[in-house]
Amino acid sequence: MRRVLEYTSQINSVVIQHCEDMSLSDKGVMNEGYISTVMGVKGIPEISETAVIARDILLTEFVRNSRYHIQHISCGKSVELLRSAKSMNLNVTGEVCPHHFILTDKDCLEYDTDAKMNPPLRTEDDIEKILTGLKDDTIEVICTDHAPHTEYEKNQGFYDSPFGIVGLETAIGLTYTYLVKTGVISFEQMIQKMSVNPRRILNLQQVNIREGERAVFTILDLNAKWKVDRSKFKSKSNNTPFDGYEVQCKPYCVINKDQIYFSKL
Amino acid sequence: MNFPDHLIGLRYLTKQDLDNIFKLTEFYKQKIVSRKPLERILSTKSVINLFFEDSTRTRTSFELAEKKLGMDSVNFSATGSSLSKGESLLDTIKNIEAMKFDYIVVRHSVPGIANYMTQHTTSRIINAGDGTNEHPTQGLLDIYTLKENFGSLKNLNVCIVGNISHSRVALSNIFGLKKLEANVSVCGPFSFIPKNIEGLGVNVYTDINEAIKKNDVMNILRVQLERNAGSLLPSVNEFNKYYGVTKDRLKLNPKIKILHPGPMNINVEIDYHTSVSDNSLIFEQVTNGVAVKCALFHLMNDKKIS
Ligand SMILES: NC(=O)OP(=O)(O)O
Repeated sequence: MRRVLEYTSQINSVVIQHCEDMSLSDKGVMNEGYISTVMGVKGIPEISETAVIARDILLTEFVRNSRYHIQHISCGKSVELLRSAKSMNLNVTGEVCPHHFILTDKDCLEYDTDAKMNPPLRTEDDIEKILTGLKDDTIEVICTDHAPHTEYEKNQGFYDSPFGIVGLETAIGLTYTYLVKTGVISFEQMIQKMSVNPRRILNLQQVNIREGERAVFTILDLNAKWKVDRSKFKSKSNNTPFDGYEVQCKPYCVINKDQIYFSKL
Repeated sequence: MNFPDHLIGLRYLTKQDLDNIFKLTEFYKQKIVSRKPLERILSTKSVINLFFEDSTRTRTSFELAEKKLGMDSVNFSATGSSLSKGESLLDTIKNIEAMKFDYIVVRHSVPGIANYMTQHTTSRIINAGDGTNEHPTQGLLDIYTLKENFGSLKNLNVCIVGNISHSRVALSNIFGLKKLEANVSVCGPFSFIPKNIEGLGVNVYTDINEAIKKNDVMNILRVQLERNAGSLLPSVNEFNKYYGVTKDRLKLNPKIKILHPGPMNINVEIDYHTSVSDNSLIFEQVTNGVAVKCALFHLMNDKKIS
């Protein structure tokens, strides 16, 4: 990691890390805690994520001008580490997925493989700290960790089924419903975290809506109330734990490369 | 109240379900020990013992109970099956489903596989051990054995010793014993104790001598070397030294009763002397295992106890 940070610091690039110590995860398949104990399932401890983040923050401090981005934060403790890195003025950023601020390891009960993802769903305590981090902009990015798998793959039992869920179709509705409507963040913060900040971190051009620019944006219908229906997803896979969720705010259409794509959600 | 369609775990049973099973177990136990034939009340039913993991006691006692009750009983074991040709678990199960068994008794290394079977078949499912989750018939026979010996489980002090984190037997015992108001504890090195186990209402002992002195029963679990338990210990000899239930340690509480689900690692978690001592109920457990399974099929078939 030291060498990667050194190399990328020179070309103003960012290192984006899936923070996991595999020896601490040790073939675990869900959050290690009370629920995994009740289910008799091997757990992934919080320290598997936080130990890597803590080390990498120190490395980012050690390597001048390096930039580091924490993928899909699942633990409350990770938010605290990110906050402390920012207070040290380090170039460290982080992201979170909707499932990590909405669902908990209780959703794995009855061995539902649609609730099996890595990093795993954690606890209500973690959600609380993640929400605080979203509110105070410690967490600057909301992402999906979109991980499509076929029904057949996801039907191999709780150990052998792969980790992951799809998130593209549900990200907007879930974020608006669970963060904006509840007053955790403003709608402007939502746009920052889902469009502006990711582009800044990745050195991509920002979207400008004005004459002469090529149109690349999504139009949202803020008032549309809809029910998540996995059979309507455009993705080839529809492995989601959010089927049937009632949400508000719907992508109305996407404009990209001179084409308009209307949502069929 | 009706008995559930499937036996997935003792987590899902009520105290009433347990009492109903134990009443019938007593009836079958008497018949079995006096070698009386049983009424073939399930002679129109078929069952497959679907064992993806090895077994001596569980598979044999299931088959015996099934045959005593007149069922068409078929055995499947992973070795010798088309799994070796790369057939998947799901396809294997779909084929079993196509044969329309009334009951499927399943053992597999993955937790949750019994739930999974209920989603992919129309048979009644009995969990014979799903990885590190539950082993409900073991829990039932352990608890029945204690009931037979002590009369009531209420306030009985039962300590489960050893490799808790790899043990389906531990979880089934904890769920069942708590429902019958026993005081349950576990004892072992922290590397063997799963996180938040106290949340299940059990105490944790780290000193085996203290645990022996303070309990009426030690239910000793095997150190599951096949699930890589060895990597959680400096050595099995060290485990024996600090946590083994041995002849010398029995002297700390001469009235203590000993359970072990088998298979035993002699001189790891238990010594030979203890296993055959007057304190030991280990072989009584095996007899009760047959009676419990007869009672279970009877109840699942009848739904209500008459
Ligand atoms: N107690 C027990 O389950 O033994 P087997 O593995 O031999 O069935």
